[in-house]
Amino acid sequence: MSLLRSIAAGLQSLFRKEQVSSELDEELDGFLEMAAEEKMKRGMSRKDALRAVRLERGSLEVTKESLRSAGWESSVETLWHDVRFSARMMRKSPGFTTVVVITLALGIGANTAIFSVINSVLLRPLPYRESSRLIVLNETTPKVGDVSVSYQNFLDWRTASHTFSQMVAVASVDFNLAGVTQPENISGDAVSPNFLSMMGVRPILGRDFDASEEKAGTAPVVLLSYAL
Amino acid sequence: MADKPSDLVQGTLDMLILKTLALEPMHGYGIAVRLEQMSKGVFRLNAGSLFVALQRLQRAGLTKSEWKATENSRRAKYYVLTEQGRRRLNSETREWGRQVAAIARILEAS
Repeated sequence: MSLLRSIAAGLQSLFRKEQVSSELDEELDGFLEMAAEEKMKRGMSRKDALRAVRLERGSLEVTKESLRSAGWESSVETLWHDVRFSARMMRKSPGFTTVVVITLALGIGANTAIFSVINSVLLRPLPYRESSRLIVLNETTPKVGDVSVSYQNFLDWRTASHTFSQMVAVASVDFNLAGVTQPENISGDAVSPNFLSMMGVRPILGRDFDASEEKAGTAPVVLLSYAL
Repeated sequence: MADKPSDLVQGTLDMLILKTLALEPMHGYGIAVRLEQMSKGVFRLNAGSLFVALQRLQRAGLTKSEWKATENSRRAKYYVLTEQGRRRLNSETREWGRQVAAIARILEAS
């Protein structure tokens, strides 16, 4: 695995820097010496020979530098230097740092807040069965715009429409809760019997509305929600 | 400068180093000298490109290295071709031959 080997070699030069660097020094010095020896055999002085090798083969310092920056570990080291440098700069100017940190905090906080609203309002689907197929229907009039649907119209729509698999009527209703210490006005909805089953919701206790209970004159049936 | 050694074709240095090591294990200077001899002085390696290439080959697992004594009883890092390196050399040699033949055909077209 050449990837593993490259990681291992990089880690070695990161954490055993002294050893890796001294080995590299020895190898490059050896290179220089061997090349110089060759030239000294041909009668050059040692000084001239070393100089000639540097001219011919390039400076060994530059070589060391390019070896050091060739592996992936050099970017880790650079990053670490950058982190330390920025920490130093931030300590030097605490006022600026504070302003930046507060700006970032407010920015991130505002973003998070707005996103949670968008997520729950726009992105997350309603917690009902096939919520993407749920649609609210209204009647419109030219003068007023959206108006509520009359019950007779609703009945006509329900029998005549083939676009929707189910249709449900919902109307707000207010109740008065009496018989407790303080009477209370409670808001609720009058709904068609298939309201809950269409949404795929089942009452925790008791039973759902029955289709026969839609007719006028039958006894009123109530389902309580947690809001009560 | 007319007598300046030529630059290598990009990407061929690794292949040439592998070839040198296929003959026998060698230290860095030895590789440079051998390449210069075999190319009759056309390729003179810069220490920078040589050692960067050696590091790259070793990290790719194509070579191994060990410290040994040279014939002049100096300590030097010898590079040895691995089995993987031998395979790579074979495939690169084949590919190089294919490309050179193709380029020759293009240049000779009239």
